Amino acid sequence: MAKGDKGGLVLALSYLPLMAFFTFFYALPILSILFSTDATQLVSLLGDPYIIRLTVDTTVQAIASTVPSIMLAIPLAYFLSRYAFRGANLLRYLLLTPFFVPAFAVTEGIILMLGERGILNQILAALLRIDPPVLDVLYSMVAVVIAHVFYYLPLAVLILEQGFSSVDRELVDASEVSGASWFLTLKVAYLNRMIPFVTASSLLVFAFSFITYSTPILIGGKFTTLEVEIYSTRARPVSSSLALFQLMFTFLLSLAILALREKLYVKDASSTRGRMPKTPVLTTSGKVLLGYAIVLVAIELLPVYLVLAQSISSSTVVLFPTALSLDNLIRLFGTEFGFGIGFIDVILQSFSIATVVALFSVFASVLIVWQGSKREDVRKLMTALLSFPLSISRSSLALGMMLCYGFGFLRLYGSWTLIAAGHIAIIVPLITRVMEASWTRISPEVRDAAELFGASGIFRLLKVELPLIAPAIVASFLLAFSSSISEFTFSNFFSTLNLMTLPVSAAVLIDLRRLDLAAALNGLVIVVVMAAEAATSLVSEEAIRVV
Amino acid sequence: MRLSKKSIIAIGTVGVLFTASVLYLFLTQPRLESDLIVYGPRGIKSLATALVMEFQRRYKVNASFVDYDMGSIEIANRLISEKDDPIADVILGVPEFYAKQLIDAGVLEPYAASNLSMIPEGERWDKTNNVLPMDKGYILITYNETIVVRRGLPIPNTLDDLTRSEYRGLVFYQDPTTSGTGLSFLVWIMSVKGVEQGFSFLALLEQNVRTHPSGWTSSIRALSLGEVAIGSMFNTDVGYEEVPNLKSTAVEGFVYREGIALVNGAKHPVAAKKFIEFVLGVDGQNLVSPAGYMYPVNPSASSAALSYAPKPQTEVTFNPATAGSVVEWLDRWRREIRAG
Amino acid sequence: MDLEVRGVSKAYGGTRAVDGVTFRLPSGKILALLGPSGCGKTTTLKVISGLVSPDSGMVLFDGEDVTGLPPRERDIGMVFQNLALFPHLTVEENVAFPLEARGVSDSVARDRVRQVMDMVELDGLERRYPHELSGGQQQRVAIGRAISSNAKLLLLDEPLASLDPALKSEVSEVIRKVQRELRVTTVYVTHDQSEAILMSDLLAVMFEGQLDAFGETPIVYESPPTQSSASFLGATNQLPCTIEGVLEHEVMVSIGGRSVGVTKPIWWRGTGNEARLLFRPEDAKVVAQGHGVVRGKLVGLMYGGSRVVARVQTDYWKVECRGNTSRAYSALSSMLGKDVGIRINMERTILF
Repeated sequence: MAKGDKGGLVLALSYLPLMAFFTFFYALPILSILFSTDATQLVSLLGDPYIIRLTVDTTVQAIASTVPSIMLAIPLAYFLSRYAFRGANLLRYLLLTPFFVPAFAVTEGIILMLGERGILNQILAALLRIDPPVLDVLYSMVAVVIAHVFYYLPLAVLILEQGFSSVDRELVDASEVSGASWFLTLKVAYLNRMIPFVTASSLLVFAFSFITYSTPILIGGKFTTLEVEIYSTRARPVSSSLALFQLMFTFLLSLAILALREKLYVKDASSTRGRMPKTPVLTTSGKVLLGYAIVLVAIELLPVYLVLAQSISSSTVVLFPTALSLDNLIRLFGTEFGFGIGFIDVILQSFSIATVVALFSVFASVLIVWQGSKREDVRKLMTALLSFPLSISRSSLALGMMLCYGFGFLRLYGSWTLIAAGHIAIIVPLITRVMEASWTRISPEVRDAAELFGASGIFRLLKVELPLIAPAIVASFLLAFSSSISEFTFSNFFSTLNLMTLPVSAAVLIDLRRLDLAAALNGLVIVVVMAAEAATSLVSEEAIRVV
Repeated sequence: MRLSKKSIIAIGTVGVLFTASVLYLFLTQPRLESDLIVYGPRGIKSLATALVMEFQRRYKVNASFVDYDMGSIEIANRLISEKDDPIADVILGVPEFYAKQLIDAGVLEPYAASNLSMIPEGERWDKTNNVLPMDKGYILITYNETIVVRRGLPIPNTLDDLTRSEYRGLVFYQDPTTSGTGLSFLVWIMSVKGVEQGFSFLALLEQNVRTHPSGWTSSIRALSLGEVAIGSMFNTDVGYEEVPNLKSTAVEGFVYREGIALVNGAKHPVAAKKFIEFVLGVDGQNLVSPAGYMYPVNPSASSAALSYAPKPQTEVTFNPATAGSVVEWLDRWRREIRAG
Repeated sequence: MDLEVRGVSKAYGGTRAVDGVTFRLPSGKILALLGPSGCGKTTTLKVISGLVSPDSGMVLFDGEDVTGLPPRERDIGMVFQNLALFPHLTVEENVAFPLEARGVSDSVARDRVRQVMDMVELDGLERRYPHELSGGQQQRVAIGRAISSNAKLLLLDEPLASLDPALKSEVSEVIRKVQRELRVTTVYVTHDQSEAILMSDLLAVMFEGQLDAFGETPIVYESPPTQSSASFLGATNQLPCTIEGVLEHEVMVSIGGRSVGVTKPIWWRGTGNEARLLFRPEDAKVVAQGHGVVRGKLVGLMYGGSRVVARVQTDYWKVECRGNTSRAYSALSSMLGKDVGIRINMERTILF
C-alpha cells in the first residue's frame, strides 16, 4: 500500500469511532424527526409575541437560577480549594448527590420542603408561632429557580474550585506581604484568574436551566418555559421548528461554554506553578467557612433525605420519621407487575442492562478519547460533537431512536439493546469527559517515551495509557452504571411487557395507583445510585471533578 | 505482550460480567418480532398492557403496546404523520373529541366488529365505525373535605362554583397539554359554554387556580399535601386511599369516552381485527375497571371494582359540533390562559 | 552508527525553533548540544528521535535517510528531561519495556535486563516503583531503560538538570561508564557548559535555532569561532584592540598602548585593524597598578570560596577577574576604589 494511502487510512480510522458513535446515536435519530422542520414556520415562530415572551421568561428564569448558584458556590469553592481536611472528598460527594440521583427525587424533595405543609413552612410556623403556610413559593418560578440552584450549585462549586486552586500563590503572598487589604488582594490575585471560571460555570448553569422542562412542569405552576412549549406540541411540525430553534441556541451556547472550558482546562492541566497549598482548618476564617460548607451541603441533601425518609416512613412530610416501616419495601419483592415479571426480574434486568451499558460505554469512550489523544483535530471535533446531549431533549432523541431503530431497519423494538442504546447515547458524553480529564494528565513525555522505545499504538494503549487511567476507567464504569440504573426517559420509551428497568417499574406502580410501593421503590433506586456514586468518589477524584 | 496479574484479573472480571449480563438478557428477553403493534396514550398504559398481555396469552400472538410517552392527542398526531407507512395496526384510547381528526386524515379503516352488537347503541358514538367504543369515565368536581370544612368554605357543586372568590389559590385542574383528564376538563367547558364564553370562564377561573398538575400523580400529590383543595378528577379517585378526604357531590360531570380503531394500511390486519374483537368482548371488557378508573361499555362486563365511585347526576357529553377544534383550543389555552 | 543531520529546520507558528542545522557525528562519539534555554537544542534532539517532524532537512543514520521513520522504528534510546519513567511499572519492568515492546523473547529479555541493571548499579531494586526511588536512582533507571534494547543511538535531554551537585557527579559517572562500555553514538543536550565539556567528544553550540559552533570539544572551547559562542563558553570579558601584525601562530595587537602577542585562532582570517579580544574571568587577575595589560579602578569585590571575584572598571568596559585566590581577598579589599592593573593570560584569549 502506498504511503499516502496508508496515511489516509490511518486518518480515516482516527475519526471512525467518534463519527460512528455520533452518526448512530445522534445524527440518524435526530434527522428522522427533524426533516419535517419548516423554514417558513421557523421564521414565523421567531416573530410570534407568545414565543418571544416564552423565550424572555425562560431566559429570565435561567439568569435567576444562575446568579444565586454562583454566589452561593463561591465561598464553598474557595473553602475546598484553600483548606485541607479529612473528608474533603466525602463533602464533594455529598454535595454532588442531587446531581446524580434521579431528577424526580430532587423535585419530590423540594415539594416536601417548600409546600404549604412542607418542612420549611412547618419550621417557620413553629418559630413565628403562626399557622402555616408562612411562605407560598411552590408552583411558581421561584420554586423552579430554587430547584435549579439545588441541582446545579454543586457543578458550579466544582468548576470554581478548580479556578481557586489554580490561583498563583505567589501573587497572593506578594499582595498580602505588601499590606494590601483583602479586597485589593481579591482584585489583584484572584479576579483575573477567576473570571474565566466564573463565566464558564455561569454559562453551564444558564444552559441547563434554559433547557429545563421537568421542573417547570412539576413545580412551576403556571410558569412555563420554551422547552415546555416544545414538549406540549410534540408530534406536531411546529414542535420541530421550536426544537430546532432551541437546539441551535443551546448548541451554540454549549460550544461557547466548551470552547471557553477548553482553554481553561488546558491551562489548568499544564499549570504547575503557583498552585495554592492547602491550609489546615484551624483559623477562624477556616472554621467559619467549614461551618458554611456543612450547612450548605446539609441543605443540598435535604430534598433527597426527605424522599428517602418518606419511603421508609408511614407518615408524610416529616423531618425525622417516627413511624419507620419497611413494609412497602418488603411488599415490593412479592409484587407481580402484572406483566409476567416480578420485582427480582426487574432488578436483574436493570442491573444487567446497566452492566452492559457501562462496559460498552467505557469501551466506546476509551476508543474515542484514544483517537482524540493522537490528533488534535479529532479531539476538538469530539468536544464539539459530544456537547450535543446538552442541547437535545431526551424525549426527542428517544423518539428518533424508536423510529430509526425500534421500527426502522434494525427493528429492535422489544429488545433490551434499544434501551441500552438510549442509555449509551447520554452516558458516553459524560464519561468521555472523565476519561479525557484523566488522559490529559498523562505526561506527554511518558507517551513519547513509550513510542520511542518501540511501542506500537496498541501496545502503548494497553501497557501504558490504560493502566495510568485505571482509576478513571473504574470511576467511569460506576458512573455509567448508576446513570443507567436511574435513567427514565429512554427506559420508559422502550420498555415492553417483559422488559423494564427499576424507574419504569416505579412508573408502572404509579399507573396501578400504588403510590406507596412506588415511593419505596424510588427510595431503593436512590440508595443504589448513591452507593455507586460513593464508590466512584472513592476510586477517582476526577469523576467527581469533571462535569 | 505480558499482562500483569492485576490486568488479568480485571479483564477476567469484565469478561465474566459482560457475558453473564448479555446471556441473562438474551435468554430471558428474546427479541420478539411483533405480530401486532398497538398504539395508545401513556395515560391508559396499565389497561392497554393488561389487554395486550391477555390477548397474547389467549391467542399466542406477539403483541406490543407503544405510547412514545405521549398523550392521546399526540399519539393520534403521531399516527397521522405515519399515514403513508403506518407502524401501528391498532390504536386505542382515541378520545371522542379527537376522532374526527383521525377519520378526516384517512388513517383509520372502518371495521364493524363481529361482536359490535354486544355494545349498546347509545355507547356507539361514532356511527361510521371508524372508531369503536372501548370504555368511558366520569370527570367530576372534587374537593378535599378536610380543608374545605376547616376553612369554612362552601362545597363546590358546579363548574361555575369554581370561580367563587373564596376558592382563591385552592383550585387546580390538570394541564390539558399533558393530561387526558385536563383535556377532558377543557372539552367539558367548551361543550357546556361554547368556545368564547368557555375561554372567558377559564380566564376568570385562572384567578383561583394554584397550579396545573401535569398528570394524575402530581394531582394526587398536590391534594395529599394540601397544596390544592378543589379541582377536576376522575370519579374513581373519590375515596382513593392516598387522599381519603377527597369527595364530590357529583352534581354534574363530564363523560369521557374513548375508542379503539383499526389503522388503515395495518401490516397485520387479521391480528388487529382479532384484537379489536377481544377488546370489545367480555374478556377484554372485564379488564377495564380493575385497571382503575374507566368503565366498560359492554354491559356484560363487570364494573364491580368501581362500585364505590359516585356517578354524576347530570352527564355532560362532548358536543360533536365542536369536533375538529381541540388543537386550536389547546394552543389558545397555552397562550391565553396558562401564559396569561 | 554515524549520525548526520542535514539542513534541518523546524518552526512553531512564526518562530523558527531550529534553522538549518547541519552536523555529522561519527559512530561511538558523544556530541554535546549546548546552548541557552530556547535555543532549539531539545527540538533538534526531538527531530533526531522522530518525535517531531522537521519542516525541511534530513536525518541520516549510517547514510540512510530516516526522516520519515516513526520513532519506534529508529532503534534509539532516550533519557527524557523529566525522566518519563512509567510510574505504574517496577524498575525491572521499566528497563524491560523496550525489549517487550519490540517482541524480544522472555529469556533473552531477562538476561539483558540483568546485565543493564548491573551496569547502571540498580541491583536489588528490581521490584521497586519509581516513586520509591531517590532522584539518582530514578535517573539510573531512565538510563538503563534507554540502553536495554542495544539501541544504536542514545539521546540524553538535560539528564543532570534537576540533580544536586553530589548526584550530578554520581549520575554523570554512570553515563560515562555506559558510553565507554557500549561505545554507542550519543547526543547529549545541556545548557551547562562545564557538563558539556566534561561529557563530550564533540561540542556544538546553538543560538536561536542555529548552529553557532561545532567541532572537537577542546578546539571549540579554546577557539570558539564566534563571539556569541565564546561568550557562552565563558569568555565574558572583552577589550578592544588594534592589530599590529599577523605572524604564523600569533597576532600582535595593541591594547591600551601596549603591544602584546595573542594566539592566532585556527579559523583566523581577520582583515582590518580593529579587533576585539575576549577572555575568561578565570584568565584575568588583579595586580598592582602599573603592572598588567590594562588598568582600571577596582569597583567590586566578592569572596567566592576558593577564588575572589573582582570587578574592574577600565577605560572600555567592566572586566570581571577570577584569577586571584581567596588569600588575596584582604589585600584586594584595601585596594577597593583605587587604580589597579589586570594581568591576562594571553595564550588563552580569543581574538575576533
